[in-house]
Amino acid sequence: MTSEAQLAPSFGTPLALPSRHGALLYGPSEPDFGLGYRLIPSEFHTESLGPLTKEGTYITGPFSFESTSNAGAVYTSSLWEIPFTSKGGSTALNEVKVKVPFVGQSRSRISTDIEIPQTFATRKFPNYLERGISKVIPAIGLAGAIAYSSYLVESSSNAPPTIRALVENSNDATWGPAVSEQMLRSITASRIYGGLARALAVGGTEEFKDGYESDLAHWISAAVSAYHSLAVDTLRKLLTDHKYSIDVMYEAFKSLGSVEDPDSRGARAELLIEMLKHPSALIRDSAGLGLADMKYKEAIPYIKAALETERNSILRNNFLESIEQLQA
Amino acid sequence: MSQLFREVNNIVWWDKCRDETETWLPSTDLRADALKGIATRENKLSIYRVDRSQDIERTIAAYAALRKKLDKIDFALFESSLLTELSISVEEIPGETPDETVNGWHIDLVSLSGSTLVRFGVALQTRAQFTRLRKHAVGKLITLGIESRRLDPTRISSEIVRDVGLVNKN
Repeated sequence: MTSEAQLAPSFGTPLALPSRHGALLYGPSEPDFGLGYRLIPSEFHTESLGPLTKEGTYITGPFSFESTSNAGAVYTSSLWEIPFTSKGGSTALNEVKVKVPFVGQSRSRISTDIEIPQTFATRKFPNYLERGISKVIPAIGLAGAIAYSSYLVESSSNAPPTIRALVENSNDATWGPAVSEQMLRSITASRIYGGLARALAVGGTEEFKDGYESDLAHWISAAVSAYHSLAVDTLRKLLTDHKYSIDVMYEAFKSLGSVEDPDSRGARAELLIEMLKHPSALIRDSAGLGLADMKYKEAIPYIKAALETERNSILRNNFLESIEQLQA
Repeated sequence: MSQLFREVNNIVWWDKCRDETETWLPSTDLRADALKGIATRENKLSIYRVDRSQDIERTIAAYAALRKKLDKIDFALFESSLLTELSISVEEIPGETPDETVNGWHIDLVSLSGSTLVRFGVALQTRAQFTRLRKHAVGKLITLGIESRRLDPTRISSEIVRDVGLVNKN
C-alpha cells in the first residue's frame, strides 16, 4: 500500500527557475525532473546573485528557485537554500543550506560554473570522484544535486547505493571536492527513478479516460522528453520491480506511444514489443496501440506473432488494425 | 430503430471470449472491470440516441471533440429496445458537445440501481457492437465536422484543434 508520505514529498516540488532568468523548462506543475544538470540553459545569468561570497560562506543572494508543493503553495528560496515539501501533502519548508567553497570570484565565470576544490568528496565518495582533479560543474547542477539529496532523504529506499551515500553525508553541507560527471549522471538517473516512481504511485489515484491527459501520462512524457531512453529504461525497471495496477500500466504504456521524442523511439518500441506478451489483455492492447501510434513499422512481425496467439477476439481485431495502420 | 451510442473507454474488457486465466468467468457473465466503462454519476448514465445510421459518425465526432485531446475512442452501439427490455428510464437532457444537433440526441439513463447496471452491462456484452476508432480516424471525423460547420471550433480544445491539424498533415 502506498502511504501518503510516499506520495506527497517532492512530487510537487518542481524546482524551476523563474523565466526572467532564462529558464528551466518546466513550469510549476511539473514533476521534479527538471534539475538535472543537463537542463541548464546556456543563457543562465546570475547578475541577481548579489555579492558573491568568499570561500566557505553561504550564498544567499536574490537568485531564486520556485518550488510548488503538492498542495499548490509556492515557495521561493535563494539559490542555495533549496525548499522542500514535507510528508503527507503538507508544505513545511526544509532549507538545505550549502556551504560553497568555490574559488572563483568572477561574476561572469560563476554565472555558469562553480569550481569546487576537492577536499570533501574525495574523502566521502572515493569511489565516485576523480581524485586530484577539480571539476567545473554547472552551478545549477550542484543545486540540483543538493536538492535531490534532500529529496532522497525521504525516498532513499528507491535510490541506488551511491546516492544513498550522498544522502547520508550531504547534511554536512560542505562541498569541497570535485563532483564528477559520473556522480552527476548517477544523480540524474536517481532523480528520474524517484520522479517516475512517484508519478506511478500517484497514478494509482487517478482515473484514466481516453481524450484527457492524465498526470501520469504528462509526467512520463516530461521524463522521456528530457531524459530519453534513460527514462524509458527507468520506467521499465520500475514496472518490472514493483506492483502497479493494470490501469496504471496501461496508461503508462499507452503514453509511451504518444511521446514525441525520436531519441527514445527505439527504447520505447522495444519495451512495448515486450508488452505484447504481457499476461493482461489490457497491457497487450496498450502495447499494440502505442506501437501503432509511434508508426513503428519494425513492430509489424511482433504484432503478427502476438495476433497468432491472442485469444481475446476484440484484441485480435485491435492488433489487425495496428498492423493495417503501420502498413498504411 | 434508434441506435444508442456509449463510450466504454476500453473495448477489450467486453470480449465474450475467455482466455486461460479466466476460467472463473462464466460466458454469460461480465468482467467487473468492464463496468468502468459504464460508470454512473448520480445513478445516471450518459448516452446518445442516433436515429439514422449515417449520423453515427457525426455523433462520434461531436463526442470526441468534447474531450480535451485527440485520442482513440472505444464505444458501444446497441439498439434502443434494450432499454425497454430492461425497464430503464431515460431523460432527455441536452448534451454539451460542440455540435448543437448532436446535443439534442443526448439522453440520460436514470434511476439506475446496481443490479440494473450489471444487467445492462451483461446485455451490452451480448448484444452491443463494440468498436474502436483510432486517433487519426477520430481526427478526420472532427476535421470533417469543423469543415462542414457542424462542430463549433470555438468550443473545441486548442489541443484538439492543433492535433487535428497535425493528423491531417500526416
